[in-house]
Amino acid sequence: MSFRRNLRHARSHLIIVAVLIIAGAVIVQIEDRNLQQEAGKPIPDHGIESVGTVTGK
Amino acid sequence: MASDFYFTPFEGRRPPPPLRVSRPVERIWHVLGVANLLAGAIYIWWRWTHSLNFDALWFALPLVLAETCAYFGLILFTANLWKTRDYPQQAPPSSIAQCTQEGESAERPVSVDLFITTYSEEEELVRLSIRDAKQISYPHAIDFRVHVLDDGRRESMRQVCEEEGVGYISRTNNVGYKAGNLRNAMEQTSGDFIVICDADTRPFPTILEHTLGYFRDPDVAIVQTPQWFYDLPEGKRLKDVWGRRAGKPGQLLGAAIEAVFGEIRIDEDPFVNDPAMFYDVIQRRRNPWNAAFCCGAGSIHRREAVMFVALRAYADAIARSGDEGRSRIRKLLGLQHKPDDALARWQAAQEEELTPYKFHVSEDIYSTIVLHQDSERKWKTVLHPEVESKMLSPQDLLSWTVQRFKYAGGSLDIFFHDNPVTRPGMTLAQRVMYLTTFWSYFGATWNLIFLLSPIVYMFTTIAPVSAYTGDFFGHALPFLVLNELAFMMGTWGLSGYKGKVSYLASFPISLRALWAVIRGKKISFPVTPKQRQEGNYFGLVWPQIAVIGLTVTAFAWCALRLFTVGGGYTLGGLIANGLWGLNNILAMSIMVRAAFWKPEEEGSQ
Repeated sequence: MSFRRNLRHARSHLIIVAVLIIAGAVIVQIEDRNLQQEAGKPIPDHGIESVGTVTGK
Repeated sequence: MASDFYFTPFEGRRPPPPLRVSRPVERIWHVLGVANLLAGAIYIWWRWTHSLNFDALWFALPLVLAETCAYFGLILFTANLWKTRDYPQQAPPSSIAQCTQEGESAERPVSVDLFITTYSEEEELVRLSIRDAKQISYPHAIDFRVHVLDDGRRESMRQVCEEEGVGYISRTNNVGYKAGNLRNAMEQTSGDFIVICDADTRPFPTILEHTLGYFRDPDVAIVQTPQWFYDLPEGKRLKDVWGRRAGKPGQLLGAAIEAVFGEIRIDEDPFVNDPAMFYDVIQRRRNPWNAAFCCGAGSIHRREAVMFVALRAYADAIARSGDEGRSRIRKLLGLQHKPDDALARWQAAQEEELTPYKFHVSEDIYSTIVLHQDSERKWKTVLHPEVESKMLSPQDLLSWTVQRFKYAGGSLDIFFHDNPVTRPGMTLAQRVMYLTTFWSYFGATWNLIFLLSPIVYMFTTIAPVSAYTGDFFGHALPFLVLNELAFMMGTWGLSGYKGKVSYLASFPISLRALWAVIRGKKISFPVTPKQRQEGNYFGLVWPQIAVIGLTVTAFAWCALRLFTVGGGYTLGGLIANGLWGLNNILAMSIMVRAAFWKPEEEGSQ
């Protein structure tokens, strides 16, 4: 059986993985932002700024 | 006439080959499978220790318990799917002496009885099975006989057997149903091996040539071949269905979706039978642990092993009855007299019957369990990976439900009354494999909690976890993603979606079976209909419809609150539970569609 054909059988797994990752990323972004706002702290820009702060650049 | 059958156009269909065993794919599966179990363990630990919503323990505790039970099932299923190691196929034996211990048998051709069990199935349908059985070939001299075992005692069936030149065996009662029917036939035949076929089982000419070689190992008791439904509807391409409904735009949209996700078929296998997942993956991967079990039709049995099971059960029954007899005699004679053991045993032997196949709704798995429990003889069972016969699938939801209920009820009955997992005899691996089967039937209880959870959240705004934040998803997402990827590789070559949907959506059947067994109700032996049954199956799918209805109402309630009082929901909770509810609706809708499914000709009328 060809790789392409096997991959077609596996599509439901891949679609679920994509949905989980996208939905998870969106939810985490929104919820963390809300929590920060409620706590009265500045909204973190995940990634670049916090890395920059740590390395002092 | 035979040509009038609905399946006649499918006669030319050929079964798919067994899944190719690929060591690299297996290694990837092992890595992902272990990573998945680790991620799951971390998640479950975190759920118990850091995430419970203590303000709503009535909701949080059942859910975390359900997740833990499901995780235990995941460990068992991973063990089941761990590796594929087929039994080496050997050349078909030319003499029975090659299939027994040295000196046990004389040099003579192998003798085989093929049993076709029937009760009320149409005679012409059975005739097709007889004709295919007569076509079975073998490269050596063989004493091969076909017998129709008619529990319906029909003169017309006898007539068909005479016309076809095969044996007709009947009896005066229906004691023990199929198991009793087989016992009666065994008393009247003497073949070294027995091929079990249902009325609709159409063996291929190669079945004996490909399977008798396994019996060169004198410890091999049963060889099960995969069951293959050759009449499953092929369905229609998404682009064609949408094209018919919405013209060119629909066709273009369907084609675009298929271009991204691959070919999508509507109404393909409406009852999500998915026998390949069961035989080619679950059963076949029990071969390394000598734990594949007999499923009835399409299996080949060594008569000596079947009789061994009978004698073992007979002896056990006498031993048990002997104890009762002894106490009865003690009562009769007065406590001061010691009863005679031989008298009690003789009396018990008079009351017991020798039954090759236990009179039980799951007589096939039961017989295998008795074989596997014998630690002295060490009988083996083999799952032969190639399809060697074709049969008919359940054509309506009632037939499908009857079949599933028998499987679930029979297995749970064994679990509660004669549990091989805790009884002596089996190896640890065999116990794990049987526990996997039993555990899957308990899954309905936690699946029900998974189905209700998003509904509870949307109606009450109460979350079972402390918060849907990065902490939650940091633990849940790796587990969920790894789970999908691991089982994608673990079942590489098959679609796992059907199995998942069928498992989730069949929760009412397993719950009913569980309830029946707990109440001590006997699981009956209704014959699974081979022809489509007409009727309204709303009564069979009302729980699935209720889940859909409740979830949709919860969505509407949620939207209403959001647009009026604001709700009190968190956006994270809404998205997570919304997707969860959507997944549940999709799974339930497949079973509801199956209730109203009709074959193409009927549906288009």
